[in-house]
Amino acid sequence: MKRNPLAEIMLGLGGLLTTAAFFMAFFWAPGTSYPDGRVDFAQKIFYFHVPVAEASFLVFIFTAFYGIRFLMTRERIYDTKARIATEVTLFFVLLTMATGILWTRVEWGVWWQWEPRLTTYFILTLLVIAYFVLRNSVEDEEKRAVYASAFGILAFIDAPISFFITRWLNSIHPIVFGGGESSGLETSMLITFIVAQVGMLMLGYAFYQLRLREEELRERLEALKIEIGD
Amino acid sequence: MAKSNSWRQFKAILRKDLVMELRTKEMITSMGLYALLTMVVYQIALAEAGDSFDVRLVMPGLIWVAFIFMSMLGLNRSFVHEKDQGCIDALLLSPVDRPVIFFAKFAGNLLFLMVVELLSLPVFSFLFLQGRVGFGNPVWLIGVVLLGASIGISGVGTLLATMTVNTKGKDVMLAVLFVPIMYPLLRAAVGATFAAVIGGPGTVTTFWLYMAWVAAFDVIMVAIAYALYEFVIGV
Amino acid sequence: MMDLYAAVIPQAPYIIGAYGLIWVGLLGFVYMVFGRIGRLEKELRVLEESIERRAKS
Repeated sequence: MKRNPLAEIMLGLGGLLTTAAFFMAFFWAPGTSYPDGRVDFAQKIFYFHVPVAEASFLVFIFTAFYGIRFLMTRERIYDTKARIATEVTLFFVLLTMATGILWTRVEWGVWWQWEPRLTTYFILTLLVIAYFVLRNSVEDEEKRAVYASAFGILAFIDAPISFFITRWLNSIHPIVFGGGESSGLETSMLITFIVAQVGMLMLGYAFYQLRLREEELRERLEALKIEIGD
Repeated sequence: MAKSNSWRQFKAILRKDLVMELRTKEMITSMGLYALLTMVVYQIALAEAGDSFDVRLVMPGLIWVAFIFMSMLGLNRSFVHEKDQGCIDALLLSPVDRPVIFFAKFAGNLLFLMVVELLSLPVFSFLFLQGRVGFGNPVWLIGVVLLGASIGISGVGTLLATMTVNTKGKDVMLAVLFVPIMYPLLRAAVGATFAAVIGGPGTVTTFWLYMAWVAAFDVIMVAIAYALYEFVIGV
Repeated sequence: MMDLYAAVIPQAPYIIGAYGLIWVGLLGFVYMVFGRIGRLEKELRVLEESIERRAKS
């Protein structure tokens, strides 16, 4: 079985970059403070919460992309790829939710707030879960693949809505980039953020490739078992 | 030639659904009854709220909750029929264009949904809104929301129900897929209904803003549903 | 300095929690996937060997 050296390189690099970003966040990037002068320590969550969230959106694109590819070609590998992309999305979505909830508790004083970004992201979580519920409830393999692809494409529409909604509506969720005067970061904060973001995307790619390799191995094993059984 | 042919096929499928409904009255009665039962549940929910509580504040939410669950009941029904009686299989064997099937089922579901909505809304006002201040804006605005949101519900619902009717969970599965996909539409529909019901300065603008949102959802989602239908129905 | 501690201490559990969850999540994912890949590779080797043996005999 061919190994994918790129996946392992990406895993190593991603791990290195995210670890570096972790230290940069706590020892290099300046702390922020509230208008009344108190130190805002919880802002440190930003360096990992946002990269994980962006990664969840980006990986979800592949669910829709491979869904379209599958419907056009009917090759099973694309369905497997779409499924794995959705799995990685679910993983990132759960991490985003967990870190987000903790940040909300510190900054807003509540664990949860029904505001546009949180609401649409919650809907995204439900859609990603629904994707797997749908897969589990269809027995015929081709039907499962077609339905999952169709639903993945339809569900993806929520991702851009969730991403842009803080810019369209009045939202108390912070807009860090391109959101008017109060947005934007100091250079050292920006560099820390970019390192974390790039590292996280590399990890996302590595996770996807590793899971794909696992699925390929599993399929080969099943094929061999059938061969022996005959 | 081809166009008029599609139109004939469209009318034939739609007529089949209508004739069957007129004979059995199954969809309209089950959906209507469901709406009535929901209102009983609302009475329970609001029982302790007291008389000073203005029902109009929650009315838009209440009616759309009723309509969304009612529509799922209808959508599921309409495809269970097709499947049990082998209609879809027969349609697929006949030389009917796939897009025609989508639009015919979409139109049928939209029609039934609109009929039950228009019947249950007066009942809702009769039961809950008597003696209250009337609607703030012209009543026809509510008709606009009903039509706008029902288009999205039946369009996307037609695609999803075609899928879920072949799954193990059927109606439960439809709810799991349908409600989150519908969230943006429902949110806008409730917003528009609220603006229409409450009235006051600026609410008409708010109403049309929400309606633009509804229209955008309808156009994008129904187009995607239409494009995907061809793939979903054949397997 | 006291001000700093006053701000940091109440917020610390949440920040530690957030970073902890991320690390546990990421490492757990990698650990699990590698574990499963390792098992699958081992099984594959065993199967391939047995096929080879059968082919020889």
